[in-house]
Amino acid sequence: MLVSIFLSALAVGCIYSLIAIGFSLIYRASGILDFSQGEMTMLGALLGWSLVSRASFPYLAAMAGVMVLVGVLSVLKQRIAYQPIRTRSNSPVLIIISSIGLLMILNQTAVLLWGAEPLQYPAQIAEGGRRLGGVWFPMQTLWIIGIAAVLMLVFHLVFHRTQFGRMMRAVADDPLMSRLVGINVNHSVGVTFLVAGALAAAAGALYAPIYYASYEIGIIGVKGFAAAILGGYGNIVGAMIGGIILGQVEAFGSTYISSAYRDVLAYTLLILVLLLRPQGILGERRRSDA
Amino acid sequence: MLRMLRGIGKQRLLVLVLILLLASAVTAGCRSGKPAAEPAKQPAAQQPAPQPAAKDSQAPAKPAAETQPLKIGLVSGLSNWPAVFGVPAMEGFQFAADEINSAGGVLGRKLEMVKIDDEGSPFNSQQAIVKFYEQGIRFVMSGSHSTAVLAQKPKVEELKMLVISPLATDPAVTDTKDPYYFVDMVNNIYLGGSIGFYARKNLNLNTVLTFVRDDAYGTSINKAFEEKFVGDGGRVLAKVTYPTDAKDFRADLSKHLGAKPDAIMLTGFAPESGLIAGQARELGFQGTILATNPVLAPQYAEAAKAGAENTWASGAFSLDPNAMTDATKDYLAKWKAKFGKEPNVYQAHAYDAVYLLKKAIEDAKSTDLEPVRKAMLGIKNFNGASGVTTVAPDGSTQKPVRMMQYKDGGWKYITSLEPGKF
Repeated sequence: MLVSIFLSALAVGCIYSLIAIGFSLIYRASGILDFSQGEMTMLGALLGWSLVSRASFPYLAAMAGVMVLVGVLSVLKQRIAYQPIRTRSNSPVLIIISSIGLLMILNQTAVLLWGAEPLQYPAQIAEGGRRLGGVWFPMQTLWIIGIAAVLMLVFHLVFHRTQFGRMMRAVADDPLMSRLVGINVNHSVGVTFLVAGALAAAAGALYAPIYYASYEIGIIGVKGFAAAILGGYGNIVGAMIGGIILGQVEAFGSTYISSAYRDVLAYTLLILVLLLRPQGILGERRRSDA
Repeated sequence: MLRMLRGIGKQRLLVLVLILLLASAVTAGCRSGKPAAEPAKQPAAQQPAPQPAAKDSQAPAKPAAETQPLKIGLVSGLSNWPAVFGVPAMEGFQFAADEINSAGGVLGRKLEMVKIDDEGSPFNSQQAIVKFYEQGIRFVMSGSHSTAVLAQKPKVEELKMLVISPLATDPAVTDTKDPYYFVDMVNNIYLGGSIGFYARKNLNLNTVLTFVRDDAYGTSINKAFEEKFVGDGGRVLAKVTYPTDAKDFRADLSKHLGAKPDAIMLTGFAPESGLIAGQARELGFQGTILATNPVLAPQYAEAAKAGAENTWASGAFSLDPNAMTDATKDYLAKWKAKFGKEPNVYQAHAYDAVYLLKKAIEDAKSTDLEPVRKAMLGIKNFNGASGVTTVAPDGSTQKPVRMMQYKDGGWKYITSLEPGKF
């Protein structure tokens, strides 16, 4: 039983991690707290449904497709809704208001385009499973963990082992110095949004076959945000770890306490971690006068 | 004021104005509390229009109020999770209204449907009743779920309106001696009790793991189920109460399936019930799944996929040829001709709800509330699309319950249980 719970929680946790990475990436690169990230996940789920159900795409091709589409949408979002505000006033409050407005626009647009009823993917990612040592390993769960792990690994390698990743990290750490050494900061921030949007869309395309695609699943952005905070906001590895921990706390808390308190347990943990370690698990403590 | 505006600066002022415009546009796009597009070409004035002089002096013209359209309020959850049944209910209401209007209306008056989306919110649902009242509407069709209806009910009774619901099956909705709220679907006492009875007596199931949806519907279904199932000697091994937005049940299933229950009882709606069934099968559960009416909606099988096999449900409606009356067959033909697909349980009951009101108005020969309400309470053996309906003194409905089994990719009608036989 414990292994089954651990595995299904790991699958859900990996989905949270992908969303959390997006939150942290965007914050690290631009200082923006982007509340519309959850809606990128929602769009990934719904666009994936359209590609699989209506256009008969194979599942993995549909996932690649939604990552591209939503990534581009994320760049447009940054250029239209955030960049002008950053250029003119760089007010964090105005950017937050803009992101909330964007959240509502995307949410209502999804209802208009796809309707309000839950939409089922026509088939699971993978059928059946394997029984090993008395434990049932569903293939779908293993596929989700595998795909999410590959995405996170690819991202990690690109971010830390390529010139391109170095550039993104430089801009995230010090935009002014990066500009002085000739890095196109605006271009780099745009690419960051592209990657964050793509990862959120992948999370949606992994989430929907397990449950369903619907305009309301954007609420998962709150879990992704919580995972990012838990791991250390702005820390990419922390975001990955935060998502996995959050998934496990939800699952085991539901099992041993009550499923009615699933969210209460998860957010209680978040608050406790922040009280004891305000910078998150892997975040760096900053001086208040820095 | 001007000094304050000057202090903000032009650029910031422009941004502020843009944000306000954006917020207004978003608010205007929201559905909450806003009636849908009003039907065109309807007289806006409530004052009676002057009538032309009758050509035949021996046939005086009807008073203007008796020729004005009769406004009927329609409230339903058209967004969020209640859309699963709220949208079909609205479709059923409208189909019936269009048909009635094509045939000349009720007592010579066309029906004008005024729609509100309550988004599944009990507060919005209650406010919809108030909005209808303020518009002079006294007859309402409600496609809202039980929890929302329980919020509507006190207002309906306070304002003395007449509401018919095709799907709010919580017994508390009609727990009234002098009802203003009517429900034309059999309630949860029948739906939950019949499946509990059938599970013991016909399926010989001894133990069950129950998933209780944490709202009025789920708890009342579970209560009725347990009364019959446990009362007949069955045992509930464990009861899992889940929040209405839950999607992952693997943790609870992993914890409790080890006790090897004969069956899993589902008390919720189609989407999450389908997820429970699918996840249970994924974890190796091969026993029987028990459920009630909502799982007959297509979303259950879509969510459960192959896991829907061997599900038994107590249903209020069936399109099986052995279960259909002539009225149901007639309705089925008309619905398929218009929509190109079969109707579901909510559409059929919503259709009947409008026709029940029509019958009550015609029996009362009036559109005044009290005569119509009394006529509603006198309806016996109404032969409608959803079956033969008799309105009980508390406003509930007595109808046979259909026992259905999901087998080989579709729902099969097995038998009917008459009220009083279980």
